[in-house]
Amino acid sequence: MDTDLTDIELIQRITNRDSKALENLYDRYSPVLYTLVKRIAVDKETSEEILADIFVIIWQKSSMFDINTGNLYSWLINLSRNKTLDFIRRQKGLITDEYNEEYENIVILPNISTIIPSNDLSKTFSSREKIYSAVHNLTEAQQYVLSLAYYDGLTESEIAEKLNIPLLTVKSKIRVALNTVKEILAKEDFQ
Amino acid sequence: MIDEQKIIGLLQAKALGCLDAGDNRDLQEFIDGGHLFPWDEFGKFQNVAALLPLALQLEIPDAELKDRVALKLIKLSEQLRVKKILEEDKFEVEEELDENVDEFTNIQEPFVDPPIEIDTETPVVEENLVYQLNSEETTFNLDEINLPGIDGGEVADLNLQEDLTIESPFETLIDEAQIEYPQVEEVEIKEVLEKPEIPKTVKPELLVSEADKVSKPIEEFEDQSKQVDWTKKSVAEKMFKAIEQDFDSLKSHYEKSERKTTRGLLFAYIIIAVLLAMLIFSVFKLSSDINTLNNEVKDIKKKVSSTLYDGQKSKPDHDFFS
Repeated sequence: MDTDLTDIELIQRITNRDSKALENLYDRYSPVLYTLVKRIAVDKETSEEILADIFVIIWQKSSMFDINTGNLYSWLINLSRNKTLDFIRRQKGLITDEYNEEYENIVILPNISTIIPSNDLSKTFSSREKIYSAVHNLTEAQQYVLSLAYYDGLTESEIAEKLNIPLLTVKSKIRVALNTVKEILAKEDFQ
Repeated sequence: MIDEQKIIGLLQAKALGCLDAGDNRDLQEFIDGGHLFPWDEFGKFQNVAALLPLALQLEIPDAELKDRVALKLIKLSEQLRVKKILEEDKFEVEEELDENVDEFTNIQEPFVDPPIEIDTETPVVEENLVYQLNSEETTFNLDEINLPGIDGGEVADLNLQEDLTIESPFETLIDEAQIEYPQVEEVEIKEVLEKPEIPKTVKPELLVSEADKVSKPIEEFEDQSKQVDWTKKSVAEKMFKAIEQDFDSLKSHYEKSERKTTRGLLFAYIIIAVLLAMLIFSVFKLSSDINTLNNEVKDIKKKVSSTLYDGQKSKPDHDFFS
């Protein structure tokens, strides 16, 4: 298969039941998705199990991706985050809802804005250092709050409770942190 | 009325997926209420949030994981296929049952399942399955899988070896897995908070080129080629196990319906035997009744003739003098 295919071309082929395209997508995305999953799940075996589940979902639900967004990268990242957090919460008994088709469509599959900057993996990889420095330019507190929100899946109230700080402070830190990263990346012409 | 400024302030948390339930409800109400929602701004925040994992030190999953994903997909497609076969089979049996019920609606005897299941089961195992395996709806190319390192003779008695030309998604999966990813040391992911240090072993540029499939000299992978053979065999075995499991489920289904049919036949034999016994009994009863009646008629005839004779005998002169 042509490895120069764009993300969108790949997902279109997957929707048409091209297993080689799925293999190609795996080769392309498994490192970044695995990194994210393992950051959330920590355990290696659990992470591998979740990643396998994610690719099964991609195979089965690729048609649910809105090609018009042109941003498969964000869809896959959000899908992986949702699936991993759900898996971990179920393991801990925090979620008791039945995991069925409907649940997967509503909770696991991401709702990406239809007006989102187009993005693909090669583009993001080439700007990885910029992203890295943008995140690490944030204050430690901002980074920590971002980490709790994004990787630990805590809500703003839960973060406030955990850190024993006012809710408004948490809201403000999250807002400022994401705005800062966005602005730095915009300056770098990334978006 | 929901404050528009408040909604804008919620976009970041929404994009990060950490919005409280109450705020999330407000946001949803705002969208559902037909207000002008800043989708553009929200999309940008979603994009930024999705970039956060790239600030982590990248880890590469084991090459075996690719096989596991492939195997999982094959199993899934096989399960769907078997389920489909069983559903079709059930539908056929129900249809035939309906036809038979229509034919025998006037008969008051208890209905016994006709032995149609055997007729329908046999082709499901042999012909229909082959047909199903050839269908275009298959997922992950199971139909075209060539089992590496396994002789066709092993599956000769399954009548499937001609149809199961297994090309193997694994073969390429494994080869590319070995070739595409250089042996990068697995690095522990630290907290995001830890001091930044871009891993020297995995450069972003290198990863980009990896993702775009770097072709490496074959000599570098001489040792790995042995591993590939080993993996191929194990995958083939796993796949055979998966196929065997499917056949087992078909076999158990077949045996179950065969038992059901035998039970039905036995029941029918018993009913026929009882009816036959009743028929023989009623024939004997009827013939004995006829005999009894004949005897009674004879007795009556005898009585009548003797009475007449006696009457004539007692009045002989009466006729003479009259």
